[in-house]
Amino acid sequence: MAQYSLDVTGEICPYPLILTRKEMGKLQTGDQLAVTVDYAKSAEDIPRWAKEEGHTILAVRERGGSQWEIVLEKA
Amino acid sequence: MGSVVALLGFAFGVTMTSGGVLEPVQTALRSWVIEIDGEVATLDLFLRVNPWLLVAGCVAAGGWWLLRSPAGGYQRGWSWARTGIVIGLIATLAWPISTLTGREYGLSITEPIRAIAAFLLTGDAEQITWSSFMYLGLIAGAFLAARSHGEFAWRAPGAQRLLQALGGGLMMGVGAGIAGGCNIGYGLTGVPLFGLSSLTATISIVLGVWAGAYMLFGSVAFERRVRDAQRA
Repeated sequence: MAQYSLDVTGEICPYPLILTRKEMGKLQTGDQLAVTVDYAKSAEDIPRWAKEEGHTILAVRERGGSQWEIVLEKA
Repeated sequence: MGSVVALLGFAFGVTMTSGGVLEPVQTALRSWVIEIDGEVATLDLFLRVNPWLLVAGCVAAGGWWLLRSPAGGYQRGWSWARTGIVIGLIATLAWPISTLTGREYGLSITEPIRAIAAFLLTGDAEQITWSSFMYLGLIAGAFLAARSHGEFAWRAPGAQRLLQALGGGLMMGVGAGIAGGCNIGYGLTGVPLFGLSSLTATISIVLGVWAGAYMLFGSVAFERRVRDAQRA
C-alpha cells in the first residue's frame, strides 16, 4: 500500500474530477490518494464518483479558505 | 478567474453573433421559422392537447424520477429538491416582476450579458433593462452565498485551462447568440412554456454537454474497460 497526493487547486469543474480519475487509474488496489481541491462543487463530485466506483472514502476534510482534502483508497 | 475569462469569451461571442461580424449567420439560420396555425410552435399545439395535461405529466414524471434518485451523501448547502423548488419560484416570479418594467419575459442570461456588453462598448443606455439588473443581482447573490459558506476564494488555473475557458466561452457565446438564448432562457423560461424551439435548444445543449463530457471522460472510461478486460 502506497500513499500518493494530488493537488488540483485552481482547477475548474470538471477538471478536478478528471485529474483524480486519471491519477486513481494509475494506482494499485489498496493505494491511497489524498486530493486537495478548492472548487466547492468538485469537493462533492469526487467523493460521489469514488463511492460509485466502489473506492473507500477515508476522509473528506474541510481545511478552510475554500479548500478540501479528500482521501481515497483504491478498490 | 477561469469563469471570468469564460464570461468574457461568452460576451464576445454573443456580441459577434448579435450585431457583429457573425450577424449574417444568425439571420440566415433564423430565417427558417416553423409556426402552428400562425402561432408560435409549442408542444401542446403540436400534439393538440391541453397544456395543463402536459404540466401534470411532467410533474408526475419528474417527481417519480426525483424520488427514485439517490440522495447525495456529500452535498453541502441546499438539497437538489429545495434548490429546484426555489429556482422554479424565482423563474415564475420573474415574469410578473419583469412585466412591471415593461419587459414581458422570464429569466434569461444571454440577453443581459449581451446588453451589458453592448452598453459598456457603445454607451447606449437603452440596452439596460430589468434583466441587466437581474444579472448583476445574480452575481452579487452568488458571491454572498459562496462567502457565507466559506467557499469564496480567488483562484486561477494554469494558462492552458484559461485558454480553454476563453475558447469554450466564445463557442458558448456564438451558440447562444445564434439560438437567441442559453440553458436558462430556453431551459427555465421556454421549456415550461412548451416552446418547440426551447425544447430543441435544450435537447441540443444536453447532447452537446454529453459530447463534451465524452471527449473529456471517455478516454478514462475506455482505459478502465481495457484494464478490466486484461484482469478478466
